[in-house]
Amino acid sequence: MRFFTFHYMPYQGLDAVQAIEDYGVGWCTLPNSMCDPAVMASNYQDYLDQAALADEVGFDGVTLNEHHQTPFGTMPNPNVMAAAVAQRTKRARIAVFGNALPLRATPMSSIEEYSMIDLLSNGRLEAGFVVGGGPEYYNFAMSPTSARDRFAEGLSLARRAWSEPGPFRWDGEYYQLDCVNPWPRPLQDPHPPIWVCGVGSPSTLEMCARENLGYMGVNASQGHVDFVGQCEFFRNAAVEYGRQYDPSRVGWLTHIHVAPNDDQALEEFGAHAAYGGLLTRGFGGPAKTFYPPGHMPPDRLAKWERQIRENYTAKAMPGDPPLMGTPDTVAERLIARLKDYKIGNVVMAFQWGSMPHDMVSRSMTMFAEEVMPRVRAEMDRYLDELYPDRTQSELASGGAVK
Amino acid sequence: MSAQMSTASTPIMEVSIARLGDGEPLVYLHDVLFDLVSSDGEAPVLLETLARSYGVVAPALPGFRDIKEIASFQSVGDYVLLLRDLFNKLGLQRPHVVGTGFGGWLAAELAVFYPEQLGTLTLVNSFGLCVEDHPTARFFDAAAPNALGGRKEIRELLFMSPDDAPGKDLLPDFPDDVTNERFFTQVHAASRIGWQPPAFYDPHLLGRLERISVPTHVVWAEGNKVVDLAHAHAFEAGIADAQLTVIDGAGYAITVEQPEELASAIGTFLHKNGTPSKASASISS
Repeated sequence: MRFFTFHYMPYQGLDAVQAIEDYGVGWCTLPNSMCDPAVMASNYQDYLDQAALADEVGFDGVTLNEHHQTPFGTMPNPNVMAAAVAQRTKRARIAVFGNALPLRATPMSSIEEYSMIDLLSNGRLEAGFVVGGGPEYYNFAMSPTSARDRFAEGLSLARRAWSEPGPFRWDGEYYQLDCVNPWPRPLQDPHPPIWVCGVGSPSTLEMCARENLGYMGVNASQGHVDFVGQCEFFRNAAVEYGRQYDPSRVGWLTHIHVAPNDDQALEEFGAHAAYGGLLTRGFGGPAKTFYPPGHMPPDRLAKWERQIRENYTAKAMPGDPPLMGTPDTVAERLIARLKDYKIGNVVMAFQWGSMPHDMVSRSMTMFAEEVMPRVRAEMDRYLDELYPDRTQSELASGGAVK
Repeated sequence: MSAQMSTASTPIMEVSIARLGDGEPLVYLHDVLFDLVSSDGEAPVLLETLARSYGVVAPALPGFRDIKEIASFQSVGDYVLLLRDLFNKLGLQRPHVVGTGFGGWLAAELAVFYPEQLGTLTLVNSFGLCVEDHPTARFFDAAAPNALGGRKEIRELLFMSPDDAPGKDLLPDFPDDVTNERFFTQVHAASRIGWQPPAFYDPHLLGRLERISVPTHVVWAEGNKVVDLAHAHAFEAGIADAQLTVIDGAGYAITVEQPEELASAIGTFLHKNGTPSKASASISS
């Protein structure tokens, strides 16, 4: 079982309520005059300190991700941050979940930067790739209808560029390159573990199972039952493709907060979560921008819209028990979740919204000392029982360093 | 009046065709969300009215209604080639071509590349141009999923009276999954070639309008908030033999808000520019 921290790296200097009242949006068109660079620089330092802390207290890895033109997540190029994290950490894996391939002029820039990070970190990179969210397709003026095809081609190119000696030609539908020959090569052999980040699209899950790629479920507000279904789909698909299911191939993203007592944990999280919640607003309404027409197949889009409406208008949200509370509460709930998912990776956002550095650090430290050992022991035993033949694959071990 | 449904085989696909009425052939190119003849032949009022005087031929384009999208269609040129193949297959001799919105864009491009294929060209609230200081409204924003707001934003953009029929009937707020999937399917097909902000344009079209050599009628709704009158003037100025008609009191969705008035304006022009027929006189009077 591996434990990763996750970070959106929000800009924390806004009056979020006022900003949303004035502009109605947290993405794309929220004026950047509201960004005070001094605050951002200080936030970045806190977030790097949190990465260093994760390394020190025993997390298996730290996770970065890409967003554009929003205070919600301030890593338009997470590879820049990964290079900094590589210098502040010694042993933790550095997971970039992920690079939005279709938004790049060529997937080669992602391959090159990832190879550099792998070298700078002495072979600690987990290389994630992502289609990119709805707002990005507004920001980049790129039709989302071709995003998935562009992504699939970019991913194939990336895998080939890392596994086949260059130079070679690439004649794709979206990319035509006379010379694919990336220097330098990554340290991990044959290349850093590859993850595809998704929000449950059956085609993505199937691709990962078929191609033996890692699947990282990155929708932190996903319901428990939904994710159980995704995991089951992935396991069945792996078997259909003639492969034994490997729990180290799947990961799950969640919010989490640990405090000395349950009420305090909920109160603290509640007090700071609103900031993050406000900034997730798209154009003019709940989640409106996240899946623009064309970003997912029309039948899924229609159902998604209805489900969101039902969730918002339900009188009492059934709600899954949150991973917030004392170490005991969090450990019990986390074990229950992970057993239902039967997966080998959990990725946890300790920092969310306006939660300050000291509180995040305390929660992380309590988790590492009092929750992680217990969950790790219990889950390793459980997964060994279920999958006695499971091997620590190159993905789980991070590949052999050359 | 029920349309006669058939298919025409082209190298790209089997095209579903609706035919209504007799008389000079008039090819009608539908918009993103309206003006399609249903698969069982139920035709919108605009087409029924035009069919009193013309032999209306209305293809359903890929990605719309129940027609599967073609993933390789990524530019307006793909549609132009399909239309040219279709005209040839059907043996259409310089028909009148009428297009609305998205269909108008396709009609204008067809007239640029294959002017010899058309008798006349009628562009109703047509997309296709990027006009300085008059950006096309953010159609794909307005048509994005909106779990709580329903379809209000897109109705407000398209309709003069967004909260009345036919807006509410055609774009209901919280429809069943099947209706909703139909809506997103059509917007999806349109976004394949129309997404580039501001929306629905070909950067080369303006400079190529002078190649349109057929008599052209530019028909605009005065209250069109999607592509405003500046677009109408740009079409009129760019096309050598063009005349403009502006209809008061209608929004972008004039084809469903004021179909009779629109048919009458279309008929008046066609009457002057086609083989005179009793029937066309009857709509224009």
